[in-house]
Amino acid sequence: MKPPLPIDTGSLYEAQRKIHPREVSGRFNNLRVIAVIALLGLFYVMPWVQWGGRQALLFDLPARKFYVFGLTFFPQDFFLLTWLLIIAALSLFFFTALAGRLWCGYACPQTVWTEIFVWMERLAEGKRQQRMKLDKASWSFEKIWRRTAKQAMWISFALFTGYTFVGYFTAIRELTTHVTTWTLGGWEAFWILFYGFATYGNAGYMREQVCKYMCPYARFQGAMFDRDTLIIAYDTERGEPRGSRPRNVDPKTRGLGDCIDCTLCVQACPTGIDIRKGLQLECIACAACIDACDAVMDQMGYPHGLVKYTTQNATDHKPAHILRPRTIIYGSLLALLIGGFTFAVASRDLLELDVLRDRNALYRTLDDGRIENVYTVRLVNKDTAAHEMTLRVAGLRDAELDMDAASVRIEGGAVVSVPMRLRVPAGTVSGSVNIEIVAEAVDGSAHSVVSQARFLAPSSP
Amino acid sequence: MSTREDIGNDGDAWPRLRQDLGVILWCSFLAACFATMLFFAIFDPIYLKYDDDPPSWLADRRTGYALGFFFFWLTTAVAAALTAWLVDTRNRGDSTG
Repeated sequence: MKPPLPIDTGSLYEAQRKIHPREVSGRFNNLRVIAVIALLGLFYVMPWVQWGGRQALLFDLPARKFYVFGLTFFPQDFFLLTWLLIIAALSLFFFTALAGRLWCGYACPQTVWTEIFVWMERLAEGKRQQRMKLDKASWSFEKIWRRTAKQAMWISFALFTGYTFVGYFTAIRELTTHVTTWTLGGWEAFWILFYGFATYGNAGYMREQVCKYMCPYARFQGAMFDRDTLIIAYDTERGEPRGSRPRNVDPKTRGLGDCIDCTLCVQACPTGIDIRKGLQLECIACAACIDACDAVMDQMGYPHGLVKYTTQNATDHKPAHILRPRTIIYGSLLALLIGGFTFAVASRDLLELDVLRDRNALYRTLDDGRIENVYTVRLVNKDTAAHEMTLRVAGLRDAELDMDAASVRIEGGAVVSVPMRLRVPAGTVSGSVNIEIVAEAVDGSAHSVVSQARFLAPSSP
Repeated sequence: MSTREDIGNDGDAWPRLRQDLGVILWCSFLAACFATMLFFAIFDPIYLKYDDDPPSWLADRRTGYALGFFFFWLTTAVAAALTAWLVDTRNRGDSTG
């Protein structure tokens, strides 16, 4: 026998409503659980993945190098990061226009971590009714241990989150050693606590209030919506007039629609809105109301979809358009930016050469009359493989290039600075000459890179 | 984790002051993150020194990053708080005078 339908309308119309969302299960909740496991799994596992002998994803801020799967990025590649952020923002616009607030309901870190904290809370304090009872109860042994268990889980998970987060900036294997041997650096400890506290506060206490009051995206996403954007809506035509009725009575004989006014959709809403009043700013499109309503429709023997994912046009019985100016413009801009980004990363010079003049002397006249200029050569290797480089000079006749060794070896992802001396015979150069320094790989990799420089000599021969 | 229940430890709407604080701190945090990223992509913290030798505590770049971040956050939070306060109080003069 099916359980009776909970019908409760009493507390909903008070001036100050309390939000006690009811637990729901259903296909959209399952989808969110899958998203939560996948995204959190990615977050916690990624720092442990190795690539070419080092952490695959490491933003080594102290060394000012970013390692991303065998690619090394230096501060001079910053425009790529900016580019990536623009792509991320535009993707959000594109998916919002297409599918509404999918991001909010399934992928936003706020949602994802809230989900896991709610799960821990339920583990320690029980289901909704038990929790409400526990809230009201005076401090007993049971209340103390349940609250302690919840806090212990929350705090340790938050600290673990902070530790993983810092593991993206300090190699996580080193960090683990620091933690286990109590040799954690001051800043490492500080940022673990900082990020851990932010997680604890956001996922444990603030939750969907962040979406309602603090999230800028929640406010401006309306600008990307149009009549073909996927939204969650209540089918007013089918549902109204709403009202309770016995299970085996045809609603039409009583002049009723399909909504039995059980208010489960309202009770399930984590932001405390009534979806039957239409699309509202607070709706984070988590689809909890759909799952709640579909379960009720099953019990009543009505078809699913009284509350469902739909579009404004579909609701108004107008044709839907996936391809429309807004999505075409966002989509082609996005394709263009991603294509350009891929090209920029792929065609990036893996070697970089800077030639800096010695600042202390313009030139030096040697005992035999030759003129010498001293430089510092800085080679940057963004490749994973090490390279062996030699230098030569172009644009300077009879020049002798002198270095401490015949060639320079640079490890993958490393920067090497070496002194270089250029000498010309007396009288061959007067004043300032523009020259080119060419660095060529002698390891068969055919890398070559050029840098401009100047050679200075006395003006009168 | 298969169900969602009891989200919002206490589901009451936030009091006004808490809403304002949340908005101010969060928006200034985002702006500070952006400014920190932009600034330190261009300037290496160990070169931010006013005489020849950086003070020893600045030798660790992490100190520079952290100080830079909190400096930006403080600055943006002051701007956000003043803006919120001025926007909130701008019409009071009309109604009383």
